[in-house]
Amino acid sequence: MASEKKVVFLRSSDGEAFEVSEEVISAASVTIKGMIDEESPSRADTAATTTLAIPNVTAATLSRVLHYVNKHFDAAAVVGRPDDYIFCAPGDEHPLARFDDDFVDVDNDTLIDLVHAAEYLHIKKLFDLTCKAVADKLKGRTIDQIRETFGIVNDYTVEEEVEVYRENSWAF
Amino acid sequence: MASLASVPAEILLLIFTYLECFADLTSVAGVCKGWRNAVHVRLRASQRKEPPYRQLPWLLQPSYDVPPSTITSFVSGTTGHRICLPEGVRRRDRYYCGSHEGGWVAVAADRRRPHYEFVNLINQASASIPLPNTLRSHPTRSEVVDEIRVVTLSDVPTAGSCIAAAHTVGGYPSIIFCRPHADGHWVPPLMDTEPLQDTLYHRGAVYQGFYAISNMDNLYVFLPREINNGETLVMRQVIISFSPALAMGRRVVASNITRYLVESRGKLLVVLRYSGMAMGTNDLRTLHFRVFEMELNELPNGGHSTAWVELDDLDGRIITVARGCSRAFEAAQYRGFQGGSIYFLDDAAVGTGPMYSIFSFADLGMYSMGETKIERPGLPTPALRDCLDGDGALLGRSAPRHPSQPQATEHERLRWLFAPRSNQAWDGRAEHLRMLAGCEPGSNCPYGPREIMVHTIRNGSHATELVTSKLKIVNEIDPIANDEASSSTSAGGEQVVHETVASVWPLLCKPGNRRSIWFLPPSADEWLLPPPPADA
Repeated sequence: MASEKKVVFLRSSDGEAFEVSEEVISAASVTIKGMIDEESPSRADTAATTTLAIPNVTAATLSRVLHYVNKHFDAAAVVGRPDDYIFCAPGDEHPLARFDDDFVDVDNDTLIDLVHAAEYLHIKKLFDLTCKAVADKLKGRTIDQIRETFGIVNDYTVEEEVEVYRENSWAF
Repeated sequence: MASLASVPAEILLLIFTYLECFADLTSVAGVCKGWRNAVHVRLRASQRKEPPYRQLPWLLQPSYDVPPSTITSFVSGTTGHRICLPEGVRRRDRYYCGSHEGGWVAVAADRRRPHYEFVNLINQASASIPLPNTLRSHPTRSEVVDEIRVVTLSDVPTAGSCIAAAHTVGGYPSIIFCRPHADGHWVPPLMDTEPLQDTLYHRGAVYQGFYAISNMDNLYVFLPREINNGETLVMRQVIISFSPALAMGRRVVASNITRYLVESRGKLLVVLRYSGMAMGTNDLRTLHFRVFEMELNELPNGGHSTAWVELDDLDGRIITVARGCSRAFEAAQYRGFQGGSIYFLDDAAVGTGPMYSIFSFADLGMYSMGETKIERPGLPTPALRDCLDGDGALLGRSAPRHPSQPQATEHERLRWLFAPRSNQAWDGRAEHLRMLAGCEPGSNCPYGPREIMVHTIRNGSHATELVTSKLKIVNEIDPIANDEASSSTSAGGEQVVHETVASVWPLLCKPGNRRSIWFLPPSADEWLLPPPPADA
């Protein structure tokens, strides 16, 4: 039974463990694949399942990431053309395009957490998706709207601020 | 919880690679020092590309009061972004008659006190470049120039060598020229021509000068020459014949042909826009485009030979057409664009009549060659086929109505076709969808997307023998017509083949605004301040 489908446990920074198929997570995350490969000599002969600590990712984010990974990297679930779908219309080319769209339709902090997690876990597809989603949130906004939305502190000096205003005067 | 403020510079840089629009890059660079650095690193990376990156034009919808003037950026996928026009440009009696790279627009004052100038809408501190308002038709005689309809330039208006060419509303002389930095008046060409439709400065291998195309499909080249030690500008001319009718495989029934000149890949293109009168209105409605490439060769005896090649597809190019300022772009440079599209404004009829009376605001849109998808990054990009055959997904076709329900209005049906299934997930984009469909209620844009098909009837027994071939416009919103059109039928031993050759997608234009123009923003790396020096 165990040999049919190996699983690993991922422990989030706040101590919650998540079960995921080893095959799926290895295909998705370069980081975790590396961890598993490191572990494998010692566990080849034991039946015990592995638990990997993911110290940089909280349970809330990790569960979202795994939801994404299971949708995208579980060979049994993926249908259609896996590559190059990010810019396609939702519900159009790729069956998961609409899933992706809903997936990144979250508040800013959650989205940034996902960017960090995707970067740390080295899941390129997720990283590209979340970076693009952040960029979409910046589009069409004024400086003040961006600062307010994302809580960015204005560190320009008064003189520099005048120059920045001149640069943007057409947009106000 | 992480915030964007704590994102490391490398990740910020990757996020910014998804920003390509001048407006977005300028805003982001103004947020804080770290972001400005990241924007500059990102711009340096894109500068290394060949050919150099050029901003796609914005659709500028100017207004003198409320609603505010807005821009639509196809690269950014944003619409309704506010732009603040300089005081002198925002006045009620001003209109726009040209645009040039670097943020320049030509602004004209009303007919009673004619005044023309090039104004920079981005660098509003820079001085405007005035253009003369008199015409010297004879060495000793000057007269006030007839209302200028369009101005086009040989170079940026700040360049000392820049020459301007203009068409006037009266059409006599057909074209006038001046050097904004040297001349106090316009001059006519040495010989006048029949009425001209579009002019463009083109640095061709054989002739470098203003190319102008007439109603009669003659292409003139006006070559500048300075005489009297540079005191006087004279324009001699060469005529090139352009005869698209000879190459016309598919006859198009159209009441109006508008001709545009575009430079692309070092060659001159002639773009023909066919439009017809919409049912029950006086509005011209764009039906079809054809694009021809000029092959001009110098002959040993000093003359030239010309060949014209019709382009069946645009080979990865995007074209924006407007009188005096049509431009071509390489789609590969813009994320998500695949080319094959021509963006057009409602200037098809701008051949006659005064400037104020000729715009319908109804015929702006995008023409997509072939059965390609609609590429609009940042916007949902429906494929026509999927719209028609989708199984009730996001962009599913409008379902048959219950017989007891009254017939849906055009607006209703359009909205239905593009209605998102879940409003929550789509809040931010609902506006883009409406823009794409051009179905804002109460707008002057009543036409939905439409498909252009070639309807070919072949002889059943000799499948290769063509009986008749004609162009057919199919309104996508009409499912019955589509069912009929998309199926190949057999009648009387004849085989009917339908081939989609193009589609037309209207854009929304707010009727309260002035006539829309293409605005060519400067490149972000020229305009943005250098990043602050790294801490020593």
